[in-house]
Amino acid sequence: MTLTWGAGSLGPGAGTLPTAHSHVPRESHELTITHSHLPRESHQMNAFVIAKLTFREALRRKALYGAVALTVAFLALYAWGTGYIVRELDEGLPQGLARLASQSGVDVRLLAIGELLLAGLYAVSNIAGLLAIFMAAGTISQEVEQGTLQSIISKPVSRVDVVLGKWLGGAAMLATYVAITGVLAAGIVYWRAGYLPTQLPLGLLLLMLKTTLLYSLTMVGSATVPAITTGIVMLIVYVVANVTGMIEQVGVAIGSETMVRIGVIASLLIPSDALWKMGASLVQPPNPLPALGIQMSLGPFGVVNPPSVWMGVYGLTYTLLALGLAALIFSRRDL
Amino acid sequence: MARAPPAVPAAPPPDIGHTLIMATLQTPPPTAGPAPGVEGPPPAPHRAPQKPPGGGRPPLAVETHGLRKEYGRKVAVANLSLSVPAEEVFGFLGPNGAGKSTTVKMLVGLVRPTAGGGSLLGRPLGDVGARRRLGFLPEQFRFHEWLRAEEFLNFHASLYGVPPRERGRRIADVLQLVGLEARAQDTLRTFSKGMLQRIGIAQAVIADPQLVILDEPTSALDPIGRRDVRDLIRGLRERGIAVFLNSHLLSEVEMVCDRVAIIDRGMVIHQGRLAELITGTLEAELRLDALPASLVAALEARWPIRGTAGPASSAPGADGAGLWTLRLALQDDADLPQIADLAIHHGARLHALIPHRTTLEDLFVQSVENHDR
Repeated sequence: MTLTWGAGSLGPGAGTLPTAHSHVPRESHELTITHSHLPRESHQMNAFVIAKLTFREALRRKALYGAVALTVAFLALYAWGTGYIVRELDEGLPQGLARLASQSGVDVRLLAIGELLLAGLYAVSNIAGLLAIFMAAGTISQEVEQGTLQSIISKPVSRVDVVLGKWLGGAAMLATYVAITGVLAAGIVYWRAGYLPTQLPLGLLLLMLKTTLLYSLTMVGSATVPAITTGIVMLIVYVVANVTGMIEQVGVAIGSETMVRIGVIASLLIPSDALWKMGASLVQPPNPLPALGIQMSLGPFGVVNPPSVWMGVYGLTYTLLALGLAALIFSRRDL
Repeated sequence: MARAPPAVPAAPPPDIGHTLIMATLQTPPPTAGPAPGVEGPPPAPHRAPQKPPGGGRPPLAVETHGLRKEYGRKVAVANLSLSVPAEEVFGFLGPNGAGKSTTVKMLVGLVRPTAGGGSLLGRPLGDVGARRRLGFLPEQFRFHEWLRAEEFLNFHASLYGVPPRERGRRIADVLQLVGLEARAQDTLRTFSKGMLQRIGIAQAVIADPQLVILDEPTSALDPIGRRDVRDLIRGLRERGIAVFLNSHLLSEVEMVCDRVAIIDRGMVIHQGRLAELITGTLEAELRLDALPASLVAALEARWPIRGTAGPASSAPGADGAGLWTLRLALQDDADLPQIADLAIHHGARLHALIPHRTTLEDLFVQSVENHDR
C-alpha cells in the first residue's frame, strides 16, 4: 500500500486519526520510492544542471523580454536607416566625403558603410554589456537573499558548481544574444550595401569575450554584496571604462601621451572597452588616414590604435580570474 | 492535557541479504511504466541502510563535537555536541535564538563552523559527498517559483545525480506522497504556502535519503497537513531513514520523536531518549469536598504528597472552587482506582481525579528556565 497525502487516500489507515498511542500499520507508510540506488558520482555534471537552469530562467522569466523587444526595434530602425543612408551615398557623395575622396583617392563609400556597421555593433556591444551587468548582479545575491539556494547547496553540489553553472548559463545566454544581434546587424549592412567583413566571426567572438568579462566581474560583486550595490558600482565602472577608452582615442589623435596612458591603465583595470576596440578593428574597413599622416579613427566608432593580441589573452585571463575569485568568495560565504 | 509517551519501538534491524536481493528484483526496467504503487502492488522492500565497510553498527546519522559559530562578536552556537543515531527520529528543540537554525545550517553545509566539527552520515561536515544521501527542507522554503512542480523536482533529482530514466518515476512517487500529483504541471508561483511546504518535502525525499533534516516542516500546514507530515515522518523511520526534526511544536515532537535534544544559548542542555526524559513523573490531582486527616495519612503512607490547597485558595467560580486539591506523585496509573477507593473509604466526596504526566513542554520549560537562571 502506498501513503498518499490528502483525504481518502491514506491506505488502510485512512479515517483513523493517529493518536499518540496508535502504532499505525506499517504498510500504510511504505513509500513508493522502491529500490535503493547509489547516485553516480556526477559531481562535474552539477555545474551543467545549474547552467541549464540559469539559461532557462533567463528565457522563462519575463525580465529579458524588454531587452529583446527593444533589440528588435533597434534592428528594424537600423535596417531602415542603413537603407536610406546607402541610397543617399549612391545618389551622390556628400560634400565632405567628396573632397576627401578627390584628395586621397580612397573608397569613401566603403568607409562610410564600415562606420555604419561599427555603429550597429557598438550598440550591440553596449546593450550586451549592460545586460551582462544586470543579469550577473543578482544571479547569486538574489538567490541568497530569497533563500532559493538553501535547498540547492544542501545537496551534493559544491559552491564552485553553483558559481560555474551560473557563469556558464549566463555567458551562454549573452553569447547567444551577441551572436544573433551581431549577425543580424552585419546581415543588414550586407543586404543594404553589400559590405561583409571577413573577420566578422572573430570580431563577434571578441564582443562575446567582452560581455563574458563583464559578467564574470559582476559575479564577484554578486557573490559578495546585494544586487543593487553591485549593479550601481558596475554601471559606473563600465561607463568610466568607455569614457577612458575615448580619451585614449583622442590622445592618439592629438598626440597626448598622458591621455593615452590614462586609457591604457584603465583598460588594464577593466578591459571591456579594449576588447570592443579589438573586435571593432577587425570589422572596420582598412583605415587610409594614418597613411595620410592623420592619426584619426574612422568616425566615433572606429579604432585608430587597436590593442595588440595580448589584450585578448589578458581579457581571457582576467575573465577566468574573476570567475575564480567569485567562486572563492562564494565558497567562504555563510548563507 | 495528559498525553501518553509515544512508546515507539526501534525499527527492527533489516535483513540485509534479503533486502538486497529484493532490491535487485525490484529494479524497474529502463522503460518507465506507471509509477509502482499507484495501483497497489506489493509493498516496497525495506531499503538496506548503508553500513560502514567491515559491518558493525550503522554509523550515527549526525555527530558533532564542540560545534561553534560566531558572527562577528555574537556567538550563535557556543559549544554544541550532538549524537543523532541512524534510523531514528530526532527532535531538536530550543527557544528562539538558541542557535537551532544556525546549527541546522552548519549540518547541511550552508554555514561554516567557527570551531569544532562533526560528521554527517559518516563523512565530515561540509563534505559534498556527505550530502548525497541527505534530504533537507529549509525553514524558509523558498524555491524557484517560475518552475513547474515537475520541472522543480526534476531539477532537484538531477542535482542528486538521479539518472534521467529514473526521475520520472520518482517524481510521480513523491508527488503522490505529498498529495500534489494533480498540480505537477502548475508553476510553483500558483502554489499556496502549504503546497510549497509539501513540494519542499517532496524534493527532500526524492533521492532515497538516509537522513532527512526538516526545519519547521509544518509551519504552513493545516491540522490535516500536520498529521500527514507526522505519518510521513513515521513512514520514513520505518524505512530506516533518520529524521532530524527542528520544530517549535512540542506536542508534535512528542508524538513522533524517539530522541530529543534541547538547546539553549548555543549549548545542549538535555539530550536523550524521549521516553526516558519524560516518564517517571506521573502525578494525580484530587479534588475533594473535605480532607480528613485520616485520608491524608492513608494517602501519604503510599504516595508522596506534592501539594495541598484549601477551598479558599481558588477563586470563586474557578475550576475546583470550594474544594480541596491534593497532588500525589504516582509510579503507575494503575494506582488511580485505589486512590478513589481510599477517598470514599475515609468519607470524602471525590469530585475529580486527574492524572498528570510530565509533558515535553514541562521538560522544555523547566530545563530552559533552569539553564537561564
